[in-house]
Formats: sequence, C-alpha cells, structure tokens
Amino acid sequence: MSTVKKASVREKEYNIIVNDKVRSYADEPFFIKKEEKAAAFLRKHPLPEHLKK
Amino acid sequence: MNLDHYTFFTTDFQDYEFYSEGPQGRIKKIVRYRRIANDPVTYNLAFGDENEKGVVSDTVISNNRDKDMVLATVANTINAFCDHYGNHFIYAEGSTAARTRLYQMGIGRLWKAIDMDFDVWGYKDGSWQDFTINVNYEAFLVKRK
Repeated sequence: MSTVKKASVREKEYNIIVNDKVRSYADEPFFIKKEEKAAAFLRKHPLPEHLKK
Repeated sequence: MNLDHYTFFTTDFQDYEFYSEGPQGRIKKIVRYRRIANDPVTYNLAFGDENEKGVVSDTVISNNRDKDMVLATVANTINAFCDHYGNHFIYAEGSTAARTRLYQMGIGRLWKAIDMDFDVWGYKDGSWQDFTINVNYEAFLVKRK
C-alpha cells in the first residue's frame, strides 16, 4: 500500500505528490550514459572561479 | 514559479515522473538528478520519455503540443529538488545539438518566469556565459536564486 506525504508550505507552490511509487532510475542505462557525459563535459569545461563563489 | 505545469511525482526527490497529455496520448516523462561534481557541488539533470517496457529515451520527438508545459514541469522539479538538497548548480544538455537548441528556445520563451527564480548560464565559444535569449549554447547551468 502506497503512502502519500502531505505537501509542505513551499511544496504547495507546485503540484507535487510524494509517494513510494516512483522507482529509482539509478541503474537505467540512459541516465548512466547521460551522467557520464555530463561529468566529462564539466571536467573539460569547469566553472570559472567567480561562479563558484 | 507561476507557470502551468503537470502534477509530478517523486519518492526520493531525485527521480521524478509526470505525464504529458496531448494529441499523441499520455506520455510518461522522467526527470533524474545525480551529483556529478563536488567543487562546486553540481548535479546533472537528465530528462526522457519512458516507454511501456520501462526503457527511457530522449530520441523520440513526441509532438504532444505541450512543450512549454513540459518545460515548466521540469523547472518545477528543480524547485522541489532544491528544497530537499539545497541550491546547487544543475547541469543540463540535450542529446543532440538540435535538442539542446530546443531547450534554449524553451528557456527563452519562459525567460520572464525562469529569470525570477533561477540564474542560468550557457556554455558557448569556450566559456560559461550569462544566458541570453536567442543565443545557441552547448550546455546549461542553473542555480536557484
């Protein structure tokens, strides 16, 4: 049986439902590939120092 | 962010799902955040359609005539994510240059609302630059204000 969390004050600003039905996509090849590509891009093109502050 | 968007669902505030509804039917959309750098802390935002077999892809153009509503929903998942994990940098890019350009055009159309909540930068000509409407970028960085 799923549980639904009531939205906090801030969450009422957007339409979100928190439950236990959304699976993790951590092992999904599509996302793994995307994350590897993104990490490589950022290693090659890091943020400038002024943005880090 | 006061833009029409779909109701979205989450369990761990890192993976989100919602349903696009339009002439092509009901299409399941997945948004996922994962940390990809520590200095500064940066998360990747990846986004795709999940088919009935549970496979996620972003190569299909759905043509569901709701692209701004979809983009506004993705933007609202950023708010939900930041509420739980903090206002970190979020990196996003399209699977192809054409798709990245679609994202750029979408951000441009919704810029008034997006600019109120987020700082946005684009990568172009070898550097990260403040986002400017109608400029093509290779990738984007977003940080909630």
